[in-house]
Amino acid sequence: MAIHETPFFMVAVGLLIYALAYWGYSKIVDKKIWQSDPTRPTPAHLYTDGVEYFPVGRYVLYGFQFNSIAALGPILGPGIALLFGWVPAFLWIIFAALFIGWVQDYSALFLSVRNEGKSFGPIAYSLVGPQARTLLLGFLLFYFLLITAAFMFVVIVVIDIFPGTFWSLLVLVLTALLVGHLIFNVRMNVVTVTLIAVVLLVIGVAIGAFFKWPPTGALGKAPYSLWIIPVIILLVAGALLPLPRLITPMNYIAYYPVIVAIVALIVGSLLSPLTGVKIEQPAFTKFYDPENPAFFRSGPLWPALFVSIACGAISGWHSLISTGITSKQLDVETDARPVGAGAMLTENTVGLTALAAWVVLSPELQPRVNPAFFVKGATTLTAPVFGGESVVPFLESFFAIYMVFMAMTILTILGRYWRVVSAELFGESKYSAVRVFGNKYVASVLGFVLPTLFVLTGSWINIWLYFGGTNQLLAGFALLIVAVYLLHQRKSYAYSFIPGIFMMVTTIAALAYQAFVFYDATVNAKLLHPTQAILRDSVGIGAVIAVNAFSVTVGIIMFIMGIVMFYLLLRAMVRARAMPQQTQ
Amino acid sequence: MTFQSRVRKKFRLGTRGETLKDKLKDLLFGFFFYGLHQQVTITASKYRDIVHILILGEAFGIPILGNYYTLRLIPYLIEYLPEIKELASKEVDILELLHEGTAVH
Repeated sequence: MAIHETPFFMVAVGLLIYALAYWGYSKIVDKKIWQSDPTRPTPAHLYTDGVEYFPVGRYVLYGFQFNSIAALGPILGPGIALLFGWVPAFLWIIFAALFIGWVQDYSALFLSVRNEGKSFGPIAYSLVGPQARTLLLGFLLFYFLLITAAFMFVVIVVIDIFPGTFWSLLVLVLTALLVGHLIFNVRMNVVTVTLIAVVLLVIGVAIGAFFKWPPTGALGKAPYSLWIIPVIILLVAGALLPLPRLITPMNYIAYYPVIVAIVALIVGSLLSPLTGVKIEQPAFTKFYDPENPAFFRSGPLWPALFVSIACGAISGWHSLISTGITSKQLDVETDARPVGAGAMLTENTVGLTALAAWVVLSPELQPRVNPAFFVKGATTLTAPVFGGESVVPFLESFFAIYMVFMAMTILTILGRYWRVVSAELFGESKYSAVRVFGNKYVASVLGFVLPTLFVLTGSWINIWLYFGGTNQLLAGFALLIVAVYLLHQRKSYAYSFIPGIFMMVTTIAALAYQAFVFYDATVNAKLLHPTQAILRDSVGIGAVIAVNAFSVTVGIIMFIMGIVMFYLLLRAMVRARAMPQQTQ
Repeated sequence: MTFQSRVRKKFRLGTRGETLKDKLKDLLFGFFFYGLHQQVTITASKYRDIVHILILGEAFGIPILGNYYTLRLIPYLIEYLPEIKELASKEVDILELLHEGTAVH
């Protein structure tokens, strides 16, 4: 078996390119454009308050930044990108890692450091105008809606396909409650609590491996599965409980499976020439094929590929973390490169190893249309390293619970975010009918009921591409706002402006195409996905039209918001060019 | 050594990882514990805000506690006044929510 037929090849090439990006391109940008100065005081020193602003060493902050940006995005994205073959997906991850991904994370971090550690909202307000901040807030609400739908879909599908996962999840949620109690009420040593949690996590995985009940499809075909009811109950409870009760401990222990999964994937990929696991997916399929339903739903390679991989290549959410948290704790300016760029390039490595898990799947499994098949790919990649056939049930249970637990953690946080943002937007309205949406119970329930409408479209491709589109749009926004700032400073801004324009145009096109796909299904009263037949047969075609029309509406709103954002940023560029140079 | 600097030393917050062992320790702390540490710090700060309002409230026209008590408690706050001022005068943005959970993607 030739080495280029194994996942080792893509990971090794990727690591070489990442090294080039880190020790080459990012160093040049750091020195020539931002001119990082270790003697210039950072917001962490200027505004020390011991809570948000205080200096933290670069190794701690790098670990934290990676912990914050490593979630499910890079794992799930490549599954859809494979629709076009593994080579385009691989090239996009490499290209984005070299020119776009770290550029956004690092530059957003530096932008905030040079602006008193301000978050994106105030920075957008001062550089672009008040509309930009309002748009950002509205945009976030839709982002929460779409990402909630995507992860609810993942939870339901994985629980349905891998029986036993729900019971593992229940063990882990109870573990989180116990951890919260032990840390905050009993005040037990956190290392002891962590050891208890790890033992319970292992028990949870073992339960998933042996207690496979009820069988797949017993509660209905996914995503039209009754599993959605216990899942929503858990999520609403999580959103309403005080933070230290569930969200904080759940967020904490969810990272242990993540780190184990990432290490397992890296080891599995790098040892693939020895284990004999090879790439099974086709290198390239087609640019576009409207006759193929999956291709029709995804759209052509451009723009679909560039929004599907999401966080494994570039993610707009990272810029919010860089500006919202990390920038307030950066010790010296020269730490921005290892923290911002270093963590993102590590995340790109996760994206590549996740791609490695997808490409080893047999083409018949159609990994491209089902997020749950990641579990099978990851098991295929890692099983030969950890003991062969005998460990397959454990590995399957582990990867399934890793996905579901991470998704549930994200969903509980999202439920809370939705509730708080709704209270901010609607809570103080002068109309009582609007104020209702700011009520914490109404907002918590709506926060999961509205995304359920997306889940009922049954099409993972469309849900994920909507989410990817909004996420990457935020990335374009971040890149362009950095360009506006650099233009104010009369510094070279092309390295951020060109990727920003590319991301903006690509994501707006992707959102427009997705809105068109839903529109086509709505006006022609047809099923977007075969599983919608369940909704048609049980309720009627009117319900299918309503579900698809809801998605059209959201798509159109996102599209308009994207266009307005793009216009505002370009206007800000023109104004910045006309203004005299600003000092830092 | 002040309380704040003791906390920072204990939780490796100001360290620069001079030796390989220190770098590794910092990295693992950042990977696994720092997020939790941050959330606990912010939660504790919210509880402290309530205490500050109770004690200093009278000066701002919120007389929850009578001055018989506040005048006896104020000396204990003197050490933290700069931090309290920073926190109270900080611009609050909805994106501050990020602290409650970062990996939403």
